[in-house]
Amino acid sequence: MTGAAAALARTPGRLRSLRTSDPVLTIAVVILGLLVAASLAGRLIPGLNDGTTTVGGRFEAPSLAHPLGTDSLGRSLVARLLEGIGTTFLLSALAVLCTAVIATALGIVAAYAGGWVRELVMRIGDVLYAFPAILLALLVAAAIGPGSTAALASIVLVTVPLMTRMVCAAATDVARRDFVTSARISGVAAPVIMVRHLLTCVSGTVVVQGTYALSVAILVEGGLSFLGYGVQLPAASLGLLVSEGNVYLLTAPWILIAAGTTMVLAILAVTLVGDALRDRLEPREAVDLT
Amino acid sequence: MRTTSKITVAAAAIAALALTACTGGGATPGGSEQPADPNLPAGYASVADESIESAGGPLHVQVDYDTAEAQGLDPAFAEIARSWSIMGLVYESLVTVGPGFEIQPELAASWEQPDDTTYVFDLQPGATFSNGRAVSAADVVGSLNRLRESGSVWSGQLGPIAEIADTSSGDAQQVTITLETPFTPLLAALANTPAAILPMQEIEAGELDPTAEMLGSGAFTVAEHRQDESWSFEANAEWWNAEQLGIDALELTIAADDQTRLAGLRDGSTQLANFSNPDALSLLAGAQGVTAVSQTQSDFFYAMLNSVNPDSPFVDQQLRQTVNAVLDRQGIVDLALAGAAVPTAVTPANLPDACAADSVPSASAEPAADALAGESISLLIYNDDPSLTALAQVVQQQLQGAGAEVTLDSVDYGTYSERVYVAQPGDFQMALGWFAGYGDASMVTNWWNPETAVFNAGFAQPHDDLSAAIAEAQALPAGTERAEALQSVCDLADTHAEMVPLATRPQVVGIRSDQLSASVLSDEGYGDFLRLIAEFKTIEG
Repeated sequence: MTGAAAALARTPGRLRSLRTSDPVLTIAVVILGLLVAASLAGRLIPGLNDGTTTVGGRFEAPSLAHPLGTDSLGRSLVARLLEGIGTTFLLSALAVLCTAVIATALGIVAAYAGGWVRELVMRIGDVLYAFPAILLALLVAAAIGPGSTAALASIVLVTVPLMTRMVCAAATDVARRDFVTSARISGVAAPVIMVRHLLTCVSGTVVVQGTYALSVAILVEGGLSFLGYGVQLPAASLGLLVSEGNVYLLTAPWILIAAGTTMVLAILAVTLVGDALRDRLEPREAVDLT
Repeated sequence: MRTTSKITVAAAAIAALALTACTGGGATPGGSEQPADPNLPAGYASVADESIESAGGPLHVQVDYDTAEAQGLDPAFAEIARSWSIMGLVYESLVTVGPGFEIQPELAASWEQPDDTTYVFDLQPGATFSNGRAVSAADVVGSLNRLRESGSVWSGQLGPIAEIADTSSGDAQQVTITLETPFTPLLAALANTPAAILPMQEIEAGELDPTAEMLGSGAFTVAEHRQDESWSFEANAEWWNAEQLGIDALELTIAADDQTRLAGLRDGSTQLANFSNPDALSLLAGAQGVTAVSQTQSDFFYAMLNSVNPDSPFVDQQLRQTVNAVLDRQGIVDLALAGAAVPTAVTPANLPDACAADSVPSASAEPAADALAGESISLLIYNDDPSLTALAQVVQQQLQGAGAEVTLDSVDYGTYSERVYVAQPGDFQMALGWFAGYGDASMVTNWWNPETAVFNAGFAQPHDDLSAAIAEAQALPAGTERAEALQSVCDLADTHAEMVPLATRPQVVGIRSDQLSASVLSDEGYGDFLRLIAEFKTIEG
């Protein structure tokens, strides 16, 4: 690998340069950590891991026994919320992982091949990008039926176009560099160049776009489940809880407040972390190659 | 930080939405018990103020779902409650249902029953279809014979009719129905929209296709229909009781989402709406200018345990009986139905001669705490009825409490219908649904005989003992003897445990009382909350 390539690929080093003294970032990381810990607690700790069992009366207001109150079937909102956080995060993370794999592969191949391959990938992306996200998600959900699979597929389809475009743009810059040209002239196989040179150089972009996609994923899951096309009862997700809370907004506001606030915090935290990562990892802005 | 993300803005919007939840007033949650108003006459949940001079104009109503598109607009084939209530605005039957499920005249001005098997109906003088042609006895005979021969689900409710004859003399139009054997629920069967009187002359002449067009003798005519979106009705100037009608037009919007209907009532854009969610009563309690009333319906939820499909664990009768015994109906009422319903057996609990839910064998069974250990059950529901979804979750909890592993399979209604009613054998193990309970305790028992019901042949088997008990009960006049016969029906159905009754299905009707003075019956068996629309009066301003 050339020196320039090595400089572009020094992502881990730049990650270490994230300043933990940034209070906003610190708060975002702490919130994100707490939410992940809460979702793990909701899966593992007895008493908190059953959001489907009735434990009290209907719509009991927050109390010592039920800190966030109960829902329309007398289920603890704490347990429902923890399950919901876990479901939403797991679904969103899985979807973003799929997006990252698909978008990275498409973006790098398009950038390396150029010509009609690049045009084809970009135009298909443009078509998908032209649809409003929630409409595209609804189309997918309507085609394959409501449920977690529909939510996952929708999120992937909504987030793939933008990430593909960003990865392709970053990879195209790298593909024009001398060290890539040298590798081509030297007879290095295309897959090797794409993996060893392009992939390592666009990893920062993938990470940044991944956090953006995670925010979108949480929103899309929320929207789909709110409309009844995503996660299905009796499972819980943040979108489902917001949907239930919306119905009982005037009589049991704690449901919407708890679920809505958690969703807001999750999206804010992910977005802030993503912004911070972008500040450090965006090669064109953060790295001086001269 | 150099970027301001759209995501952040979206998140802030959600935060604002969450916070606005704090600002609304409202009623005590879950409190759906509604004391009977002592000022109301018996059998009414709301009565239109007769002293009000109706301001006329259009009435805006929102309902939860539309007529079934696949069944067309032919009332003889209408199978769902909303088809009955919407088509009932245009068509009339010989009789209708009044307070306390009392059978009252509609297109028939009066009737006599000279003996156990003969009913003589005299038609309303001046009754005409909306095209101006007078309703004749021939239309009645033709319509009812057409229904009998249609093979539709409702044809199974008419009982052992021997003959329907035009017995008119002079100008008086008269129809006589003769039965082979006594059949007590005949009048209650004739009171439903599928037994509506159609313009047979036009249909037989090929001038009217009743599956695509509605031409009746009722209070309204159809101006426009957009499936699953809206209906526009105009007052039928030819209606024999047109002078009583207080509104000029009816704009009926299909709004599947509860929140949309609640919002319509709150902001005054809708004057009337229905809700299957019993919590609507408390959700509307704090809304200014809105009155919400609860209708006690004879409709009831039930569980289907598929005994026909060899892949279903419920081919085993003992397992069906165990599930039946494990289900805590009062628990279902308290949790899923906000206490606004009552447990029921096969005969709807709020109808005369009905057997009590706790009188059947399963009620006294004491299944072991882990009676369903090792069982894996798939529970099928459709996802556009919030009450059914709530009920399914409680049923799931109860069965899991007995050791079963229960997965909820929530699908759209089309898929549900295909798997439950069309597939042979039915493509499910356990499913939840609801029946209209009608106006006579023995009517719905017909659906426990797959040879009469037809639609349940994919998951329930005919039983000679049960079918005989149903026929025997329907032949007896209302009273103690029939109540005892119906108890036998309830016991047998409970023992076979293929269709397991759970609890009555409540309905809430929201009225924008500063714009509309409406009459609503406190009891309803056909899902028709617009039954008394002719008495509605709109309020000026």
